[in-house]
Amino acid sequence: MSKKYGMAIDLHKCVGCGACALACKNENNTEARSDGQSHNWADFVMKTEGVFPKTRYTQMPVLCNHCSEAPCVMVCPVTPKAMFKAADGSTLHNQGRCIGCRQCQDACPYSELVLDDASNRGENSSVISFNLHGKKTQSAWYDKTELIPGCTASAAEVVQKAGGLPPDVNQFKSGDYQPVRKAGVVEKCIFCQHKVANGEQPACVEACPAEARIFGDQNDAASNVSKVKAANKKTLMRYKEDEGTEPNVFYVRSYGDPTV
Amino acid sequence: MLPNPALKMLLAHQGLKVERSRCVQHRYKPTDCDRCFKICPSGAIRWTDDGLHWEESDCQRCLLCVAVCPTGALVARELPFVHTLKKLAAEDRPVLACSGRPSTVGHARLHCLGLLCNPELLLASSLALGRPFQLNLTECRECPNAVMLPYLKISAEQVSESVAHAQLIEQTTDLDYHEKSVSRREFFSLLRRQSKVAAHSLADALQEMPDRSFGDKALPARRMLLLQLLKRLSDDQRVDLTGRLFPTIDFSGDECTGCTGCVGLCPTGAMLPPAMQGQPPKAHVQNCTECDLCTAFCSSDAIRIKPGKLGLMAMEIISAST
Ligand code: SF4
Ligand code: SF4
Ligand code: SF4
Ligand code: SF4
Ligand code: SF4
Repeated sequence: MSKKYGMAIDLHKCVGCGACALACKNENNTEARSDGQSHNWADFVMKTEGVFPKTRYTQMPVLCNHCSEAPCVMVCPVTPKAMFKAADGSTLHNQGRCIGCRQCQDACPYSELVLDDASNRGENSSVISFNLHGKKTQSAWYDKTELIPGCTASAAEVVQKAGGLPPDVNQFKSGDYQPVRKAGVVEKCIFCQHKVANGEQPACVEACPAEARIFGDQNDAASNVSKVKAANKKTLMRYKEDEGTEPNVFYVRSYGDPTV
Repeated sequence: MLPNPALKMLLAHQGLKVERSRCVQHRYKPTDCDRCFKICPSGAIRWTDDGLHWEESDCQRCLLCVAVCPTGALVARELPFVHTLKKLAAEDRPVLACSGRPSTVGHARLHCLGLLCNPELLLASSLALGRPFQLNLTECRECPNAVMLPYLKISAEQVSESVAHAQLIEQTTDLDYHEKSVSRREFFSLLRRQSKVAAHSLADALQEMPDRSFGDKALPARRMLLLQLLKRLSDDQRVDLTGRLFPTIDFSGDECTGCTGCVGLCPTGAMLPPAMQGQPPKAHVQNCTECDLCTAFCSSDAIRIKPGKLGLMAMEIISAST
């Protein structure tokens, strides 16, 4: 049987430390937030409800759900599609074919074309980010101003000395996704295809100190993700389930639904 | 004149290169561009599950599809057209023939003169040569590619409104052909040399064409040529031609959401990103080949393209095919 990758996030274990999101940024060389694009392939939705002392705070990690019925793939107008379902069930993206029309970003129920300030407070997020047409990616690293003139190095200088863009660039060792994307294309979580193809776990899974993220093949009953899914059958939740996207990211929590 | 071995090698290479990343349908499936399918007399160009497909064995090399494709997705595998123009430019009364009928006379040859059904290319040729030149069509009637003749006539007629240099010659008696005065012996060694050079540079030319990625912007070669030639004109002439040839592109500011999707879709780089995010794109009309991809895409219907002379001329050829 072919593989069907999926991820379970155990919200009992998740402490909201953000190690996953940081690990993802390091692993995939994603940029800082700019132009309404978070460039956070792994992000959080945060919610505070109620009035003190009766308050309730929810922090839920979000990422591309690698939907089985993926609207982003359905709308991609390019032949062959630039956003596509891989044989292993993940939703992958081909930069060479992407023309940057942003229809995927528009169609994905978990994405926004432009994020507003509320996204800084975790009120919204976007799993697909867009690299603006005609604007160099990693543009912050072209800056020649020194923070303390005559004392600190400028961003451009660091790049020059380190010989990478970004300076700490992580080169992918397998897979065919570009470790640093170009202008005029979208980008999103690829379930760390370049690591998983090598038998490793996605960066966010590796980084989680609470072992709240469980990744694996849902078609293999012996895999960790299948076991977690089976053990929590009754309470398993998926984000925006009613959109009909059939997400392959599952949330585990026995009380209250964090996804609504 | 029978083709010598090097020339035969050239003929064997004849054909098309399909650059899918340029094709309007490959870039945006909902569009209904069918210009090449419609005009092809032998059904050699078709859409398969896999995408645009050229069936080599069905193709009769009329180059009509190359002439009508607005984005340069179909390219004739032959020497760049400037080589042809250079050869013609060396003659006082240049005659252009085809390699489909090697027995016809000419100073330079295309696979098929059907390529010139594209008015833009014919206009560029006229501007480049700057004097009358003849298209040797004396044997076209007997050629399977005769289907291209009516289109070529429309093309020439339309271009003649701007520059009247191309003469369509169908009767041998009207042909005004003078060979360069070289001895027979000299002639054949010259021909051998030239066709060897040609074969080599053809091989080079073919190798130099790597597939572009979809995100790359590229102008069809004929538009690049035309833009270069326009630069050589006097300011007045240039302004006049530029104003008439190219379309105008406007955005209705209220409707444009500033998504810049059209910037990505446009295969030629005629839509440039705005200076500020959220504003409508900037249009670079000289790069617009009027493929209508952006207008088909824009869901807020914010793009208004008023066709220029070039687009109208091309349209005429395409509508004649139905
Ligand atoms: S979450 Fe969005 S980007 Fe990911 S597969 Fe689903 S629709 Fe596509
Ligand atoms: S932005 Fe790229 S991946 Fe998204 S729909 Fe357009 S071409 Fe496809
Ligand atoms: S060259 Fe002529 S016959 Fe061949 S595919 Fe094009 S239109 Fe059809
Ligand atoms: S004419 Fe050109 S753009 Fe149109 S379908 Fe044919 S190859 Fe594609
Ligand atoms: S501006 Fe529009 S019509 Fe003109 S070439 Fe680009 S996509 Fe085609």
